[in-house]
Amino acid sequence: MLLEARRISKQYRSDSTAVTALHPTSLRIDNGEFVAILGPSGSGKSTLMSILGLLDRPSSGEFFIDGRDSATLSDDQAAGLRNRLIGFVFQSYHLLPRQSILHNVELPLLYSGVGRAERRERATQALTAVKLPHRIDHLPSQLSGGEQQRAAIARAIVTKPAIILADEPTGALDSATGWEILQLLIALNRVGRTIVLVTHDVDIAHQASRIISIRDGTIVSDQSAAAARAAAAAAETMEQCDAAA
Amino acid sequence: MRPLDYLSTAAAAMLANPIRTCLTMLGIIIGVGSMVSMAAIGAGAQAQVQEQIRSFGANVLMINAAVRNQGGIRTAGNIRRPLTIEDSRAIAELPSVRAAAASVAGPAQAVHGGRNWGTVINGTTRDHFAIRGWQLASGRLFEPGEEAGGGKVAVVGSLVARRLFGDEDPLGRVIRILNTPFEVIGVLKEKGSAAGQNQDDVIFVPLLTAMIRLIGSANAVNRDAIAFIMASSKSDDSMTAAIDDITSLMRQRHGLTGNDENDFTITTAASILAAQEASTRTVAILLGAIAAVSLVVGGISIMNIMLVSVSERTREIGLRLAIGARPRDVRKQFLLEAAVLCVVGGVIGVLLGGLTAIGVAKFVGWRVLLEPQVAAVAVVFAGCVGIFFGYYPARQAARLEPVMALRTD
Ligand SMILES: Nc1ncnc2c1ncn2[C@@H]1O[C@H](COP(=O)(O)OP(=O)(O)OP(=O)(O)O)[C@@H](O)[C@H]1O
Ligand SMILES: [Mg+2]
Repeated sequence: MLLEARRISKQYRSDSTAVTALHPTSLRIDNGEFVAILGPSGSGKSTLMSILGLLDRPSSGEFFIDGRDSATLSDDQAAGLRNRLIGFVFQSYHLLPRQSILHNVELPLLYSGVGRAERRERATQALTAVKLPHRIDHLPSQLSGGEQQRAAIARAIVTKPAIILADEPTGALDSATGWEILQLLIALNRVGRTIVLVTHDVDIAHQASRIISIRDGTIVSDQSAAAARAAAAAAETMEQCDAAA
Repeated sequence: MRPLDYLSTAAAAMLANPIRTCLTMLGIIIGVGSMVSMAAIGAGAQAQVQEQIRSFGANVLMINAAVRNQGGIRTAGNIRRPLTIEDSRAIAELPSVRAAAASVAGPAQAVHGGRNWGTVINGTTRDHFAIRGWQLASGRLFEPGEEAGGGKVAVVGSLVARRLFGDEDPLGRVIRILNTPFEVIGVLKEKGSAAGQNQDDVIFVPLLTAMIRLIGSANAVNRDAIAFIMASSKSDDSMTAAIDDITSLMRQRHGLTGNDENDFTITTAASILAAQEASTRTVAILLGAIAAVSLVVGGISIMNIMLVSVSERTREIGLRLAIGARPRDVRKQFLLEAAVLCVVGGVIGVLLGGLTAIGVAKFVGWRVLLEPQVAAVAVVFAGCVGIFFGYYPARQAARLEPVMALRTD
């Protein structure tokens, strides 16, 4: 299995107060899954995703990625794993504003020590895969939000990582554009990538094959999308019955 | 990450904000520029001194009467004595001395036909030419009869010959100096300038002629007083002996005993060099201090801007860390940015400093000498300043936590 969390928790400490963003939580994500992490704002979705993506370390508990205990990883090793194993997609794209789209997409390869010519070739391929092959010399600001997010996805897949962690990738986009981005992630899942999609939008979460619901730092449900749909339908029926009564 | 990729990343960051990049480099540009231009001016001055020494002659001594001590207490027995022709003859007799020649000198107008030229008249003996290494381009030097009999003959420097005669041959022609006609018997080879003075702008006449007809004696009281004595030692090695011999001879002739101060000075190429070296050293220390201060100020401004840049680019750093940059990659990136800033600033500083030096040379008329080693050292030093002052901001950047950095807006 790819990701395994055993009773991980996260506290943020400021001078006097300590905020618990994540209560002890266990979960496993296998190769090839498409998991949505669903929850309202402030529920701890991003916190969980940061730990899954080795951007942060849990305050307690154990986290294994690709069979390796994250506690034993040095900063440099964690950087190497992020580079090879994980692709990140953020709500605000996080493209470098003063560099071309092509250069932005090449960036992860820079840190894997790939040479110039190969970088260019692979970045072009990735941009073709996200259907953005024609605007590679533009600056991010010259692109629409949807196009910028496509570029960010190209950057996430350019190292051919096993996992893509997407934190609210459609959050800044209108629903039609958001839908296109979602189709892109679904397509990536079809060719074997593991996708972890963080969202507060139930409709989007239902495109995944598995939905983990989180509230106030605790997982409240973890079920297949089909089961989740059934549960939602049942809840709706109940409401209608109540209303009728 | 490959070395060249670090460099292009640094270059891209610098080009992203060109105005700020230029302002950041300003301190370094000024520091290196002043360092280089001052070094060029200093080296030029030194070259000039060396040339002066070369033209003075390594085994040449010049004896002058000492300048009277202003405000010093002087008793009747200590009245300064001028140098005389007799002093010169006695010096010439010394075993360590090859030759000695007395001189008087003063400004005068020389006229030939319609042309008129203000120059220096130097009355001296024929030994003077051998001592100073003057060579004839044409004609001859004074003959003993002309020297003893106050002959009205002149040996002219090449510049004077050009000014008074143009393309004509001056030999055998008559020039008028203070209304006295002189026959030109010799023209000297060109010697060039030393200490900012054209040495070829001179007319030599026999000593007695100059003292009787043109300049008079160097002292109103003593009719035998002359202005200075040029002498040469037997060889370069006997310079010290010559100085000692002349000193004791002159003290004896001037009746100085015990602790009496010398009433004359002896100048040699070595003594000019020593004086010049002392002042050059002072200037070098001063310039070094200016350059060091401006480079430190430049370095601090680099550090300041780099710290601003790190906090401004927190999101960029966070992203780079997220996609696989190691902390040391981030550190190297910022360190290299600082170094590149300083090196580029250093190169611009060298160019501007060179231009300044050339400008100074043009307008003030100083000699400047831009040595490539100085330029190289300045640029390398600027790079070191960048690494030194860039280290702290770079470390701050590398220490950022990826999550925190990504959250920053
Ligand atoms: N650095 C921090 N310091 C203190 N508290 C933090 C920090 N980061 C997150 N928190 C808190 O932890 C909780 C969970 O935050 P998190 O960002 O994981 O929520 P989220 O589910 O991603 O919300 P959103 O949908 O708004 O992004 C919040 O209450 C937040 O205020
Ligand atoms: Mg979030």
